[in-house]
Parts: sequence; structure tokens; C-alpha cells
Amino acid sequence: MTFITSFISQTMVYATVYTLTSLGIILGGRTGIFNVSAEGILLASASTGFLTAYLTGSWLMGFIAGALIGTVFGFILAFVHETFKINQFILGIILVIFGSGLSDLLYKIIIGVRLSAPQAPSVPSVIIPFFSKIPVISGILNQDVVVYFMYFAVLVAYWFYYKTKVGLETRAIGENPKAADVVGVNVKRRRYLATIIGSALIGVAGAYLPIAITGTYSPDISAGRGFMAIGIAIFASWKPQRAILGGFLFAGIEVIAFQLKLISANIPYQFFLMLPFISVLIIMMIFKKHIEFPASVGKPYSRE
Amino acid sequence: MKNKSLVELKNVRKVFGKVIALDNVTFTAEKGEIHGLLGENGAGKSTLMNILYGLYSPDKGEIYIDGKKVKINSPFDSIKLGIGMVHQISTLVPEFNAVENIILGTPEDKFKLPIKEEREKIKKIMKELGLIFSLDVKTKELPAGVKQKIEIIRALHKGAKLLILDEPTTSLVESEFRQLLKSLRALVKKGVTVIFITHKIKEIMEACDSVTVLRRGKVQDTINKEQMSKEKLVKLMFMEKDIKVTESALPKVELPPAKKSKKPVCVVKNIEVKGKEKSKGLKNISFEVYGGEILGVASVSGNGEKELASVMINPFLLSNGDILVNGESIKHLSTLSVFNKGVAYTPEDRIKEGILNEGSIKENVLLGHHTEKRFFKKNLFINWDEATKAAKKTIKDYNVATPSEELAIRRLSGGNIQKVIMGRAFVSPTDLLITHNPTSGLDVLTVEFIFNKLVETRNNGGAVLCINEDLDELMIISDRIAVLHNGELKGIFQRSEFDKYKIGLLMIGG
Ligand SMILES: Nc1ncnc2c1ncn2[C@@H]1O[C@H](COP(=O)(O)OP(=O)(O)OP(=O)(O)O)[C@@H](O)[C@H]1O
Ligand SMILES: [Mg+2]
Repeated sequence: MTFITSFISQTMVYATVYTLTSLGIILGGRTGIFNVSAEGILLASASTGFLTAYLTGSWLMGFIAGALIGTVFGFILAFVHETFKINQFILGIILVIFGSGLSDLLYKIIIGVRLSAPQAPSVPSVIIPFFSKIPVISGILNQDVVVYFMYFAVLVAYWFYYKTKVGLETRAIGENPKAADVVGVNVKRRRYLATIIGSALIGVAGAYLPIAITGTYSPDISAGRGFMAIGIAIFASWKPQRAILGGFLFAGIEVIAFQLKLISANIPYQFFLMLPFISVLIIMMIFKKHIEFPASVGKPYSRE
Repeated sequence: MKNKSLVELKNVRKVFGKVIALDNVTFTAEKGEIHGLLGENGAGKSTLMNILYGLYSPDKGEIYIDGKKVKINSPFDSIKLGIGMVHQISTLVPEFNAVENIILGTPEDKFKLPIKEEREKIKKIMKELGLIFSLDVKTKELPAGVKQKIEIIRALHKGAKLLILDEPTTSLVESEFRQLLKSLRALVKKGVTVIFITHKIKEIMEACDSVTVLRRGKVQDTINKEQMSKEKLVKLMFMEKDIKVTESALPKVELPPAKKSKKPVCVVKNIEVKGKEKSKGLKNISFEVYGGEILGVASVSGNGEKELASVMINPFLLSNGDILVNGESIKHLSTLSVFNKGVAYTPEDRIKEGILNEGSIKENVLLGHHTEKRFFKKNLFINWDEATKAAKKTIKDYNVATPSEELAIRRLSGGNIQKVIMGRAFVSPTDLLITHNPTSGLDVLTVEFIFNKLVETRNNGGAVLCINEDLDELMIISDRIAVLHNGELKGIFQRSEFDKYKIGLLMIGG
């Protein structure tokens, strides 16, 4: 029983990272901006988020710092792309490299080398009376506030895209920016907003890694999850409600791989690190036929 | 007396790089009229109206609406001023249905999605105009004519009192044009003003109360209905040119008696092709094309003509039957090998299938010829000197209006792109030319030019297979006409037997 409870509980924690990150990518992608820099944002916000939380003693400040760093990255991505029409993918990769360099640099400057790793203040959990005592269900419900924030973000995104006219217009931009432009939608502004808000969400996911999962910062803490989240966004056909499914699926695979690693001594542990990535490939192959792409993803738009 | 003009554009100038698209243009449309905007390809018609709609910003000039000077920076502004526009190329979201497309961008209730109420409103507008179509199908599945209706309603739903239509008839058949005209008249009665862009003189004469003629970025004249005549409009459009036109305002060309080759250049034997989506494909089709003749294929869009065009250059689509070129089967050849056998092809959709949008004119001329000896050094490198020569020759022979062969082809106007594609077909000797709707969207002068090229090919002994929706055109240039309906060959007519009524009836299955 405790095994299942802890499996569920861990899966939900990782699912939060995956879902928030892929949701952030989806936001940009729905307006045509493919944010491949997620990995860089995760790293940069993990480092800044952790440092801020550690120095201020406030977990909340840590998340705010993470979101702010995300905002900066999102702005750079949108600005450089919209202004100079530089290829989004090249730009994204540059930001990944920039983010990973920046994260270690900041940590070294501020913390330096220590024998015992500094610990971040912990994130409060949501405790629902009565239910928290029941096994399994408690694993599902007893989660920190960020997990609940993730649910909330998915719900809001779903409502936005499918129940509001702004959302309809935003989806239109992703399909055909000209169609949105000719009916008076400000394509450029929407692209900025979506990329920035999306990147801020990725920033929250980044800060979550050290503050809530590991308790401290270590180099390469995101371990490729930013790239996996791209896979989830695609697998989800850029739909928030499916991204959360994908988030749980990939988190589950990761946690299983992690558990297997602990119990099997003979197989090299690198094999288990590889498992999630291989699963992505297999899942993508299975769902290939059901994947849709907003038609304008990756393409610059100009009127003349 | 103060006139009651609705819009006035004054001294508008617009330059794209080196091209002066509009030079000191002044344009006025009166309230409650259908005002034509006529001009050859590249005259600047779309540019002028895109400026009024706020998509392009003018380098110079002023805009007045109802006599008041206004500043229009984006479609957001123009929509607020009551301007609506249906663009030359569809601007719908293909993944959305009609209702979603129509309500897009209306300012009120941004955080609600009142599909039901809007649906009722839309239905009301449809009823007033006598338009009927399904509101629930994704627009990518609808034919061009319906998409256009949706765009018109989208503009009206946003409260347009001025409706700009940019070449609305390009993809319409005759009966759809009539219906459009009826709807426009109904709109005018309700006080809407319409600006009707076209390069077809016939449509101006039928539809418009007055017309402004543009030529090379300058206004030639604005005249009203009483002063209109075919000859006068041709003269205004092309100035020094003196073109003869037929009753339906198409160019006249001379077709000397055919000198048919003894053996056919192309034999199509009992071919079958599976249809895509709703089309039925091709069922047991056989015909021959001889050297020195133009075989026209008449077909209403969606009756197998797309499959016929595709299978001729991509024989892998054959599920049965065989195609011979110069006596040899091409059944197992790749498209490139088919081209290397002396076949040339100009596709129906010149933007999507005909060109590499971002490529230069030179690169596009080379396309498909790139493995031929003269363009290929040591089977590895492209001989760019030869390519440049070929591109320069194409530009010269085909009067392509461009500053250089290095220009990105997408910068050219539709007519000039088509000329490049035609030119490309003749870069190397061609035995068989397959051409699909070669004149769609082109002005009379360019149509005349293309007709002459086709006839010239024929007179020089080449075989031409011309697949075309427009029966009027086929009757001018074909030696024989084959009729395709529902994927079946309904008959082949000799030139002496051409009868518009009879063939037209067969085309629709009568
Ligand atoms: N975005 C652009 N960039 C560069 N040149 C352009 C652009 N749009 C138009 N032009 C050029 O401006 C001129 C006028 O083009 P425009 O599209 O207004 O012609 P048009 O009268 O609408 O022709 P058509 O009948 O072919 O649609 C052409 O020479 C065209 O090549
Ligand atoms: Mg035009």
C-alpha cells in the first residue's frame, strides 16, 4: 500500500513539472511560436528560483523569481523572432544553451562550493481533513500547492481556448495568422503575450524542481524534461486537456524507471535513465495518426 | 452640390522595394453603388484595397470616409469604420467551421462564446441574401464558392457598409457568378456599397455601376455604366495594345488547320485511378494525344480532372491501365524520369504545386530540369551559368515583369508567376505538354499570350493536353475536346462538332 501511495504521490510531483512545461509550450505554439527553449528556461528558473527562495527564506518568492526569469526568456524569444524574423528553432536552441550556462553560473557566484547542499524552504501542502488518512487517496490529495496550481492552470487554459472568443481567436492565429489579422486581431501582441505567459509557466515548473522535488539545486537538474515536454505538447496535439494526460503518462514512466533502478542491481542505471525517452518515441509512433499541429507553428508572419 | 462619396483615397503612393505599385492614385466610390476596379495583373488593384483595409500602410496619401479624414493602421481600424474585405486568397481558418470563422474578431464579449445566438444572427443574414450553406462543416472541406460566401457574411456580420471583393470570381463557375451578383444587388438595395475587383471586362460590364481602371499603378480613368463598352475598357486597361476579343471578352487566336502526327505522342490506355476524398477518381479512361494538336479536357472541378493531371506525371497513382509516351510505357517511371522523357507540366495550383515560394526565379526555372546534362556538371554540381542563361531567356521570351532573375518568385504577381511556369515547361524540348487551368486568374493580355504559346507549341508539332474548367477557353484553342464527368470519359468532340450547349450539358452529367 505504501508503495502505491508513494508511486502516485511521486508521479504527481513529476507530472506537475511535465504538465506546466508543456502547457507553457502549448501557449506559445497556439499562436505560432514554437518555444523549444523550454529546457533552458527550466534550468535558468531552477537556479534563480532556488537561490531566491534560499536567500529570502520564502518558497513563494522562489516561484515568483522563476516565473520572472521565464518572462524574460519569453520576451527575448518573442522580441527577437518578431523583430528580426530569426528562425524560432535556432533561437530556441541558443536560449537553451544560454539558460543552462546561466543557471550554473548564478549558483556558483552566489553559493560557491559547499560540503552540505543548502536547502530551500519547503512548499506548504494542501491537507484536506478526513480524506488525508485514507491510503492511495491521500497520495492523490496530499500535495503541495503547486500541484493544485497546475490543475488550475490546465482548467483555465481549457476554458480560455474552448469557451471564450479570445481563445478562439488565439487558436485562429496558430492556424492562419492572416485570418486573425484581417478580422482585426492584433497578431503580434497576442504572440508576445502567449509566449511570455507560457514561458512564465515553464519558469514555475523550473523553480519547482529544486524547491519542491530535490530540495536543492544541482547542475542539469531538469535532465531533459524541457525537451520531453515538447514531445508531450506534440503528443497532446497542443491541447491543454491532453497535455495533463501526457504529463501523467511520462511522469509515471519516469517514476517506474526510477523505482526499477533501485531494485535491480545488475542492469546499468543509465538504461533506466534512457527509458522515458524511448517511451516517448514509442508513444509518438503509436499516436502518430492522431497528432494535429497548428498550421502556422514555427512560421513568421508579416503583412507585406 | 456636395457629392455623397463614401470613400475617397487621395494621392496614394506605395513602393515595394524597387516596384512602384501605386503612383499618386486617387479613387472615389459613391454610396450605394457597385464600383468596379479593373486592371491587368500587377496593376496594383489588391495593393490599393489592402491600403484601404489597413493591411498595407501607404508611403503617401490620405483616406476619407464620409468626407472625414481617417487614419487606418490595421484591419481593426477599418472594420470599426464599416469596411469589410474578401481577399483574393481565402483568409478563413481551415480548421474552424463557418460560425467560428464568422464570429472571429467581433469586439464584444471577448470572454464569452455565444455560438447559439451568433448562429441565429448569421442565419438571418444568410436568409436576407438568399445564401444557403452548412454552418457546421470545417471550412477546409468546403468548395471555394462557399468559402467566399462565408467571407462575405463575415464582413457583413461585423457591420460592413462598404464591401471590397478582390477577384471574387476566379474560382466560380458561371451560375455561381450569377448568384453572387444577385446577392450583391440585394446588398446594394440595403445601402451597402461594393467595390468589385477584377480583370475580366465582361464582369465589369455586367455587375458594375461605375468603374475605375488602373494600369501599372496609375489611374487611367473612372467611367460610369453609360460610357462602358468592351473596346473602351480594353483600351483603358492596356493602352497601346490592340487586342481582339470574342463575345465573352476572351482573346481571339488563329488556329490554322492541324498537322497531326501519324503516330500519337501519348496513349492513355484503360487507366484507373483511385479518387481522393470525395472525388470518384478515374474509371477506365482511354484517349490519344497526337503531335500537332491540342486536346482539351473539359471538366467541372472535382470530376476526375485533378487525378488525370496527377497521374500523367506521377504514374505510380495508376491502379490499372497504362500510359505510353512516344510508344514507351511510363508506368514504372518516377516523375523526374517522366519529365526527362520530354513531358512538361504546369499544375493547376501554381502557388502550392508550381513553385518554390522562397526560391528565386532562376531556381524555379531550373526546377525539374536540374538533372539534365546542360545544367548538371559531373553529375554532381549545378551549372549556375547555364541556369542563369535559361532564366534570362525565359524572362525575355515570356515578358516576365521583374527587375532580375534573382528575385524571389513570390514577389511576382500571379500572371508573372504563371509566365515563369509556362516558360519553364519549354526550357528543354517538349513533346507533350500537360497543362491544367493555365489561365486562371490572368488578365486578357496574359491569357492571349498563353493561348499563343500553346498554339505555337501545337503548330511546331508538339502535343498539348489542356485540362480546363472554362469551356469557352477550350473552344477557342482546342482541336478536340474530351469531356470528363464523374471520373468517366463522356465523349470526344472534333472541332467541327463543338457545341457549347451540348458539351456543357455533358460536363454536368446531362
Ligand atoms: N508584398 C509585396 N512585396 C513586393 N511586391 C509586391 C507585394 N505585393 C504586391 N507587389 C507588387 O506590386 C505590384 C502590384 O501588385 P498587386 O497585387 O496590387 O496587383 P493586382 O492588380 O492585384 O494583380 P492581380 O490581378 O495579379 O492580383 C506588382 O508588381 C506586385 O509584384
Ligand atoms: Mg490582386
